[in-house]
Amino acid sequence: MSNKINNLNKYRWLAYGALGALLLALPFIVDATLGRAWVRIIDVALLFIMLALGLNIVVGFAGLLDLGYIAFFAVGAYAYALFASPQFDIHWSFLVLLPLGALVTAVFGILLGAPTLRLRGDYLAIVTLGFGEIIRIFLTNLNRPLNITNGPQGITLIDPLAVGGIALNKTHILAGFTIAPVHGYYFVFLAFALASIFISLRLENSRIGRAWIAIREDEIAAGAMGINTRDMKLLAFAMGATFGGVAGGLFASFQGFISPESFTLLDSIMVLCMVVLGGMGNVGGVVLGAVLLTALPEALRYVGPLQQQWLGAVYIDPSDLRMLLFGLALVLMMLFRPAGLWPSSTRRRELSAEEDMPADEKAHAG
Amino acid sequence: MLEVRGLKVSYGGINAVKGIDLDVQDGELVTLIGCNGAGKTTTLKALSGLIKPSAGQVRYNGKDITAQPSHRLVRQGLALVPEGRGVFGRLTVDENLAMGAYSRRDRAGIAADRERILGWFPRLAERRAQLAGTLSGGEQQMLAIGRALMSRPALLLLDEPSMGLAPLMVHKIFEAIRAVAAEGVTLLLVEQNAKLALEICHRGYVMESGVIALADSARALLTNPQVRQAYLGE
Repeated sequence: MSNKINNLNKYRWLAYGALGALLLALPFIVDATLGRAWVRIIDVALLFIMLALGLNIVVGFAGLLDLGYIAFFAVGAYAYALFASPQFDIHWSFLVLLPLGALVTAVFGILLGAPTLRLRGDYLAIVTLGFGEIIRIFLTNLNRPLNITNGPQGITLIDPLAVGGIALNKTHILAGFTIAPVHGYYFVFLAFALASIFISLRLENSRIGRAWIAIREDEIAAGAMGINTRDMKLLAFAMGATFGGVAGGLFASFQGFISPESFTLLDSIMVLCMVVLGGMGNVGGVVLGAVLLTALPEALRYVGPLQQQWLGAVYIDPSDLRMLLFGLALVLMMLFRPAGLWPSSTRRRELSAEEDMPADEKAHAG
Repeated sequence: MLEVRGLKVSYGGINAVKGIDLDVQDGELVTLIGCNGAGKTTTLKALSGLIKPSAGQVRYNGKDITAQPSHRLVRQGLALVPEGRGVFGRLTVDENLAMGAYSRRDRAGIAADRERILGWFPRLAERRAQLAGTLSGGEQQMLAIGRALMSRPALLLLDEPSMGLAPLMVHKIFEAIRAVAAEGVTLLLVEQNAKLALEICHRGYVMESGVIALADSARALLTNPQVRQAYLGE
């Protein structure tokens, strides 16, 4: 018996080891096979994993529909860009700016949460949507009379992540490996994404996580259980916002340029789609959703050359096709897997309650 | 244990509760009966901090708890079984009970209480891995009561436990309530089913359009001609 457990543990560590090695080698493998553009796409996917996990705290755990989530990404990005660019000629280190960005976005999260405490469902969705737009419009117009955000032109020449004179926007040679900027950022983003996954998993199984679940299921009953619903909802907004803020700071340093147009309603909806499609409330599902929805539109770019090759001409513009296929994928998903690709156990049970029941009871009796 | 003095509640200009006095002694079973719209549920909501009273005072164990939010009351031993049960439908019976113990941190005690409560409600014990939303109405009511007991309350406020249940189930629920009271939990029961409520309680208050019309021992109320005519259907 104990032997079996030892073996299982051994296999588990082997699996983790293999996964770790794969994640370390991934950018180099992808670079050699699919090209550097795909390494960049993976970097972006890692950022979206952070964003989707942050939104999952608000929407998936606490059940508060937020349609303006990208605003926190924007706030985080601008918090970094303003203090690490020629805009004000301030060049602080990311070691200061990322925690600062996290703090600022947490405050913005509470600013959004406080007036919406009594709202649920559709009403909350509308207010959060408005919040997202307000932030974007502010960023667009805060260039007069005092130029803070540089308006629609955005902020350029944002400092890259750098430690002790080693900046990530340069190519380095390390032990025979050529580390291009996209490789360097990959490892930084990977670390942050893994940390986000870890925090999400810990939160899910904590007292706080259970309080959020109770609020999601029935707010009045949650209060009757002794849960401070007001504080817990604000905490969900603040924590979710923090994930977005850190991801925003990383995004600004990675791109070197940001403008209000990077943070539109469509981006909010995209992140929400990742959460819903992957499996609301389930960390693994959300990660899967983020990866798929970042990679899928990119993969569809190949449809153009393929048409050229097979049919002799491009009949359907790939960019039109992308949105079409994306919409189709959403409709099919909602029809055949309404709880997401990899749903949380709660939602899976609910949607297949009838079939699962005898099995559950048997499992318990046995 | 619970003293209510001059409690008034109004919703947007309508005075639902117009200044009532109410007492519950330690170890007592007290019921608040009355018709639909008499203000019973509103009174209970005001007591448990779900709505703010416009005037009056609520004292619990000598302490003023007027308008304290419900989550704080649980920690002081005052638990509410809300109207319409409010079980967590997508969580299992076990998870619902665990949620009831949210205000506690003694793991061993929580586990022991869970088994004890499942012992009182064998039907829940059979269905402990089942989703609460798939239980029958009566089973959900049992779960709501069991869940409230998980916080180890000294005073339990029950809002219409018989609502929408079949007569047989209503009897089972009342048996359970009696068993809970036998454990030393003080009860304030709001009910429309006046006969059953008065049969298991020590004292009763009759509420009519926002005021207490009668207050007496349950036995006296059961034989009171006025009550018999208006609430016992005779």
